[in-house]
Amino acid sequence: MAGNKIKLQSNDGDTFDVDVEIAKQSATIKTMLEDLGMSEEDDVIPLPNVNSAILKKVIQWATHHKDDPPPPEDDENREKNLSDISSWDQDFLKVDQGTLFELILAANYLDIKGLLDVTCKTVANMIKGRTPEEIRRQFNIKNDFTPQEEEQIKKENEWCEEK
Amino acid sequence: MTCFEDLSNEIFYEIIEYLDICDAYAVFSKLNRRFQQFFKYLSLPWKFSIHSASRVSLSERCQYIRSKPVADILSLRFSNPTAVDYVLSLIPLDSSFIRLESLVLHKVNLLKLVSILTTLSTLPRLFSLTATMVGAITFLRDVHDALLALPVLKYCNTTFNGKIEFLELANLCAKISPIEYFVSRTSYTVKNVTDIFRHLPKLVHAEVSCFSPMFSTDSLMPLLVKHLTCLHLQTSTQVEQLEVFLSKLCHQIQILRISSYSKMDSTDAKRWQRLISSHFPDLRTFEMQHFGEISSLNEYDLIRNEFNSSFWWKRKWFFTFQTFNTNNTFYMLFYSQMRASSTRDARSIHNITIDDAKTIIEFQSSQLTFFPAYQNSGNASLFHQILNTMPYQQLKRLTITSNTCMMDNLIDWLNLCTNIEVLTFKTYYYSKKTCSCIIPRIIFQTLLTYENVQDLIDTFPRLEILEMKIRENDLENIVRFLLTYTHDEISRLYSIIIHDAHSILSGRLHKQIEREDFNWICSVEFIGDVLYLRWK
Repeated sequence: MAGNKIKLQSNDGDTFDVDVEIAKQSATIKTMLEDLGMSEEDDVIPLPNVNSAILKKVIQWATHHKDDPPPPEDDENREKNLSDISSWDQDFLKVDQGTLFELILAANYLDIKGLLDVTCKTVANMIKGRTPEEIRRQFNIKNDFTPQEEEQIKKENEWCEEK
Repeated sequence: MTCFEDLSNEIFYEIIEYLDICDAYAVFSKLNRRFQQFFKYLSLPWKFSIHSASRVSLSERCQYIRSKPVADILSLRFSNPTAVDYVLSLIPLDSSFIRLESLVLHKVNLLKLVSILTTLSTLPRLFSLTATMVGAITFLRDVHDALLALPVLKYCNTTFNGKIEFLELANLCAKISPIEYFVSRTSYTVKNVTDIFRHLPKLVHAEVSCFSPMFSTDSLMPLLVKHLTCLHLQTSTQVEQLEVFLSKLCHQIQILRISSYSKMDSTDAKRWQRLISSHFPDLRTFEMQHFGEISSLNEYDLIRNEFNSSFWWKRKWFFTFQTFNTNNTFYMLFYSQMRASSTRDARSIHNITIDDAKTIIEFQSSQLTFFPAYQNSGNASLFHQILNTMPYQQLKRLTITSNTCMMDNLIDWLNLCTNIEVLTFKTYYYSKKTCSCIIPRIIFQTLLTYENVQDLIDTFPRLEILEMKIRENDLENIVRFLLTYTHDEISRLYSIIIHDAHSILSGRLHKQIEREDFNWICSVEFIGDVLYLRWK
């Protein structure tokens, strides 16, 4: 292992040399290195839930955000805000839906809070203000209600149709 | 390919956190069986938001909220000031809200807030309170007493939106408050701030505004806020007095942000070096901002060089400098740069307040306010130069208190902004251009005529809430026009708010609605001197 780098291995066998400090943005990897006694000299850290293309994107995101300040002290008290996505992140997340959802799954598995937040915000933005039919079309969700069930739901939710 | 339905419920919880829970329920429960079941058995700690809505919608939202155990409600947010009374009459805030941790109230009357805060003092987990307040300043002291008496409050963010001539906060009844985060944009004096801080021994983070031009520093005792590590001060206080105030704080401050409204002496780098070296040994972040007229580009070079010395570089405190030239007057914009490596990142620019004798431009992260003291085309030109330097996607609130605004240019610029939430004008401007983006709220602080409103709708056809003063004789014509306009396919307008109203005007509106059979209108409310009209 050269210097302060580690090797991350995707589930399709590709390995990536990554700076330890960048990799430690993942709480999962940080725990492996610090709590479970793995060292930088170990050959590779296998990441069985992440494929090569997504791991490459995750590393790209973590590299860009390596100098981010820690979240503000009162972060937990702040309102969740949909619009504070930086322009770099907006460009980074201009991807197809499959990639976006896989990034969410990877961020969740690797426990990278910043990436999980920004990807979930992006999906929330895709949902906000849309009708159920628009969301079904957007995400290709099959409507499996019977006509009777639909009628019942419509009655129960009449109030939601208001502006 | 991974699809939306492959995401786990755990991740849906994360996504829903960013959505209004009532709206999310309304949509997701109709998608398919899986999502219907997901919401049926959802056991979130409930976070409810009561935003602008018609009375019928409010009532149904209340029903939805009441269908959940009150003891599971974690957060209540009222962004619609007319809803507070109504909702609290149906769902009284009492000791059964045992898990309520956060309450947000927008434009709540001071007297009403005192009453609410008294009730809240029985809640065992109310850690966070955010309130913007309006009303008679007489009760502001009572509000402070009630705030400081809340037994477990940690985060307190309150702002009084009115002008304060005199506020005495010495000898407040409350003794010690557990508040750790105190945030306020109320125009306090330095004395008010010190009086409040004396009750906050656990204070860790403070953001306050001090606009006292002069105060006596002789009697200022050291402040025992030994946990205070982050201070953000907006001030117009002279630097000499600011130095005295800062030196009275404990020395463990790690983050210091200064938004100074004072003159060029606040850009004296050596003065700041001395203060930081002698009083703040643990300081790791220092940010400041300044905008002002400079006599020449030589002065600009001098200031810039002083802030580029080794003292600042060693600590990695970098600053961005820009100059503007209008009508042979030079201005310097000067603010901290969060990270030297990402100057194009929107987050690298924040909290800018621009002020000199002629112009104030206030840029609070997502909010820009432009106040020229003297009206001339040079100011308007300066404004547009600055506007063009801003990351437009970041801006949410834009306030223009100028009568020299170049409206056509502004409309072009607005068409690039997708996130503007509130647009405020001091005077009416006419433009032949059309703003194609959705503007959730437009506020005119001036009197509008029927003709103005017609032109306005042509310029902003997709606005949602219109707030204004009106020429009284035009009331019926304006209301009729706007209610008819809402039949237009493109229209998103659902509410108008009329300021400086009175009971006769309110009576005329009620009569018109009855006479002209606008029976689909859901609510007319008259609160203080404001008339609210909302419809489906």
